[in-house]
Amino acid sequence: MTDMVKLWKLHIKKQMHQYLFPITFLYLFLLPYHMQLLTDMDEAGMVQVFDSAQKYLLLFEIWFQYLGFRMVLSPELKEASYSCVKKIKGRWMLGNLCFSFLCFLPYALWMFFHCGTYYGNLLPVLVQCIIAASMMYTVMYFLQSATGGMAVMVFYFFCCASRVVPEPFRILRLGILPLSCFPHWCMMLVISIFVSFFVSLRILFM
Amino acid sequence: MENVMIEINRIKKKLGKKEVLKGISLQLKPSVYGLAGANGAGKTTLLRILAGVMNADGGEIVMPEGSGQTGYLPQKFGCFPELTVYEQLEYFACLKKIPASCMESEILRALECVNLGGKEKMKCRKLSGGMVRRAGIAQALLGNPALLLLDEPTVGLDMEERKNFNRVVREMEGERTVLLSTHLAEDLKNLCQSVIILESGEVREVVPETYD
Ligand SMILES: Nc1ncnc2c1ncn2[C@@H]1O[C@H](COP(=O)(O)OP(=O)(O)OP(=O)(O)O)[C@@H](O)[C@H]1O
Ligand SMILES: [Mg+2]
Repeated sequence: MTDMVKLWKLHIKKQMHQYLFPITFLYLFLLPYHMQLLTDMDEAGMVQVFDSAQKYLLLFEIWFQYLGFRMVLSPELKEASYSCVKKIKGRWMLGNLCFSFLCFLPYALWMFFHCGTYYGNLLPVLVQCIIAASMMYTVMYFLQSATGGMAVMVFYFFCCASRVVPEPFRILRLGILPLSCFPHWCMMLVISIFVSFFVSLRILFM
Repeated sequence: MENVMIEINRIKKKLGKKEVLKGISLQLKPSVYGLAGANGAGKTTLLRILAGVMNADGGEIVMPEGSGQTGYLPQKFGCFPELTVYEQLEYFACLKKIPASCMESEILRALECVNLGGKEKMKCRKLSGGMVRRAGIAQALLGNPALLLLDEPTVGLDMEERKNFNRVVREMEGERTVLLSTHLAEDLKNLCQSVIILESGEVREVVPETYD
């Protein structure tokens, strides 16, 4: 565990600017902007706020995962790293996820208290972040590349956002209310596939 | 047999349509082995399988219990441009789970071994080719692994560094198993106690070497 923490410190120290960028954007721009929108408290405003919050958090989640895996999966260090760790780590992905949640949490809580009672809460967004992160992890696992994983995920994200992909394959549920984004067979299927994928790699127990 | 550290039994590997390794069997004692053979003979493939980067299609590798991690220098080793030499080694030390208490001394020791002491604050993008290679060797040396796999370690090293590298390898003689691939007769002669000659995916012979 200590080695993971040390590795974390190294990542954060070296990529400070890249990590700070989304965080400053979230708290210095998005939050005040959403606050302003929510002062009217009308329904259309809330949907708008919720929708954009969801989109930004998902994009930032993808960005955080990319930063986390950039070094491990870089062409320079990949080979030598693999001889040390054998498999790229699901645990590492979970670490990235926790870190990003930690950064998003104040914003998410604010969201929850302001449009929570009305439209369900932000839990669906965080769950979607988990789904996006595990999808990205899977893509990175097969492509063995962090940039590739990010490219695929961003592409898929925009496909979902612009509704190019047909409804059942839109696993990232963008532009709908949180209450209606949960029970969705394809999403459930994907979640169960990921769970079995993780368990089969035994990464949760490493 | 006594004192056999690592047993490699009938390792096979097919890459694309080509059968790169056709059943390699070796027994490695704590000693320095040179791996020789023409381009495309399968040296890198064998080392990658031993390092665990790639899975073999058949056969087995038996390592003694608790032999710890292996040190591996890939043929194409690069440095992550944003890191300093020290941070790069710190990264590998973390991956190798070297305890935090002795991490710093271990990193400095490894850097000292390859004559990179005093360069630890240098950004990796400013390193010359030979320095990158040496940083790679230092990375493999971290944590005193019982098995050291070096894929063409001397490529790009100047005379002085080559001598230094010889010294480092000689010091490990008899304590650890070192398997290094090379194209240089000089390396085989100066460094290795035995030479394993690969030819189109098979071990042609294992020749004992004697120093001058
Ligand atoms: N990813 C791959 N896909 C298909 N064939 C491959 C792949 N990697 C290597 N090969 C083939 O495997 C054979 C052995 O390659 P390997 O890299 O092990 O040779 P080598 O002995 O290390 O050669 P060199 O002295 O040039 O480093 C070569 O014929 C090569 O063309
Ligand atoms: Mg090679």
